[in-house]
Amino acid sequence: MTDAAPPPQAAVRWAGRFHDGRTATGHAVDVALGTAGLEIRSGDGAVLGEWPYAALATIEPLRDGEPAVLARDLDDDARLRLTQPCDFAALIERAPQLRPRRVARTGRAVARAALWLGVTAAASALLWFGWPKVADGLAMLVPASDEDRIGAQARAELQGRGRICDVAAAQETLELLIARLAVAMNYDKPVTVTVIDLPIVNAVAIPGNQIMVFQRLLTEAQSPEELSAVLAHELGHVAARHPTRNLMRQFGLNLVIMTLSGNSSWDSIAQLLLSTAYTREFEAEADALALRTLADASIGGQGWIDFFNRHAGPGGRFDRATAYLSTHPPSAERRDQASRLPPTGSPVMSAGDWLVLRSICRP
Amino acid sequence: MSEPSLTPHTDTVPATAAVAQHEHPVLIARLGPLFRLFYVNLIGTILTLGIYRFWAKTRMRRYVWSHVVVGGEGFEYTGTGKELLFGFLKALVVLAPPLVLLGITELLLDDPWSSIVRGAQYVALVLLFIAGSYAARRYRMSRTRWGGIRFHQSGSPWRYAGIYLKGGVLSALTLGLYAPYLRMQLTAYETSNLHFGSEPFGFSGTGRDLFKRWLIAWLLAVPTLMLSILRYRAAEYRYVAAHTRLANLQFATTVRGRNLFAYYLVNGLILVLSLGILFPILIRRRIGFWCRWMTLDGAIDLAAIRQVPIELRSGEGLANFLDMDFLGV
Repeated sequence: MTDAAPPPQAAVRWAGRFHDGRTATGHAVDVALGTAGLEIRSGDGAVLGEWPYAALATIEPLRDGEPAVLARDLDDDARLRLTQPCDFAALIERAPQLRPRRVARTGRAVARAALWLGVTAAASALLWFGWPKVADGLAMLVPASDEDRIGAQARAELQGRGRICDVAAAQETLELLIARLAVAMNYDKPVTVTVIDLPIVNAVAIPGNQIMVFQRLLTEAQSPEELSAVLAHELGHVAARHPTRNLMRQFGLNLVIMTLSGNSSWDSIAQLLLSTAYTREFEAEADALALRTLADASIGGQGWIDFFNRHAGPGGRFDRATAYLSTHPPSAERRDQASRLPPTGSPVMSAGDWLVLRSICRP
Repeated sequence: MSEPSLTPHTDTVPATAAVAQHEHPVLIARLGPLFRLFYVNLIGTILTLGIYRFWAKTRMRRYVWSHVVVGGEGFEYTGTGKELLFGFLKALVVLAPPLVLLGITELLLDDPWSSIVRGAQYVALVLLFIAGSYAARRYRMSRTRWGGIRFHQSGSPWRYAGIYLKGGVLSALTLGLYAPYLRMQLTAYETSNLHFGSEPFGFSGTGRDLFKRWLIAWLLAVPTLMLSILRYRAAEYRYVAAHTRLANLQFATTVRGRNLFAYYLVNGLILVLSLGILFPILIRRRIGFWCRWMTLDGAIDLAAIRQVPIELRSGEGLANFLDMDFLGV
């Protein structure tokens, strides 16, 4: 006996099953840690393979106490299954690439995560800032006839929920008011205004130069000035083509978000956030147009302030907290924009006309 | 011989053959890793606005595949997140323009026509969904191995969707009575196009054998609150397994309607009572259920099953666009 003891790694032997990758047959094998690689021997001692450590790959991360499957290299079909749970430390020492990721590659994982977050942030920024511009461009390409058709659909939809109020005298008053505001706004396309019998304190602009006013707005507004404020705002939407632009933005947004995230539920939250940001931009734009219009039409700003005071609360805490989730900017800020206007101006309509207009749905 | 095995029995049969007697696939997945994987995946997916889901799906599949063991050997999933992403992008490029066009046309048309376009869109989407599910299956199978040998799904997604279209129309016209024929045609197409290496799977079932059972289940569906359908479904599983083989390896299951009922009921309870938090348990239950109920019998000459080189197709494409899953993974 010489005193050159066998290297300690030779003592490590595992039982395993070997598949050569050519047929499905499995061979019971003995596996030993050789000097340059794994030595795979069948029961009768024949060498079935010698796999260099440097190229060894695992199918699943090695887990102590679980069976492991090794491949000669990533592109090879042959497989070696270590059938008995074993301690992989000696193997990992020779083939460090087999070390489970958690320990070995934390740095790389962090870098990769950072890259992912960066890419995501860039994509979001593009969506946030870039898409509105593209959609606005696309909206310009929509011909008026198609806008009218889409508007007619929206109108039919609303009509399905409440009847149209069309007392002639009241309708005439309303159209006169819209005409006066349109002149002040320098908007020369004919605007259709329709009152729908629905208990909603609001008015909406829809594609095709249309404004739909809901009956409750007429009864809740305490003066013609208050109504003018709301109508000027909606007319601002119309003049800036917001309905069509919004449609384009939402359409693209739906498409992008639907395809990106499949059908998970949190995507609707992302969509809500994005779409409300878009809408807020539109609201601010419509407000600015409306205020200028009211000034040019010499209509007092007190109506604007009163309407906000009554319908949006005093701009308290709740109002602030929800500002970023709501489709309209915080109402205290919106209200105070009108403080630059003179509180009173020339009369909007006679008291008689106002009475008739307010009862357009209940003649 | 009480111990189930698919290992070579050198003394009684040729060394390369394997014998199975009531062999079950065994699921050795543990809940710890499943929970960790599921939640790491979920967080990654949310933080990347969904883009990470291709890698998430791949990681989950790798874990689950390798923890289903048949005959002492685990399965292996070799797909990658990148392939899924590219497949998805490919499907996007192909699908987005026609869908956008249809969407816009529908918006611009007046009523009778817009309804017709919407109807056509619906049919097209359903067919795309079905074809997509087959394409996904083809991808998944080409990325699945056992003992180093690849599976392979041949056949055409459009052919498959064609079978579905024809059978779907006939089912609608017969108020659902044609359903077992359709289901068996689809199963036959799926199974007889599935190969393990050089060995094709065989399926010999027909809808006619199931029609009487289906008719009874169909008639009793309302009075039994659909339980008769569940009972039928179990019978169908038994029938399908009994008519499926790989060489001389015979599949079988003894699952019954009440087993399915208990399984679904417990799944539902876990999901609802935990508000979805325990979803990883369901993943394990789903796969564990079929491992428990599926048995293999017969002898198979493993040496005769050779590796077959196949073209590598990218990604699940269509299916990923529509976000389909296989047993929740």
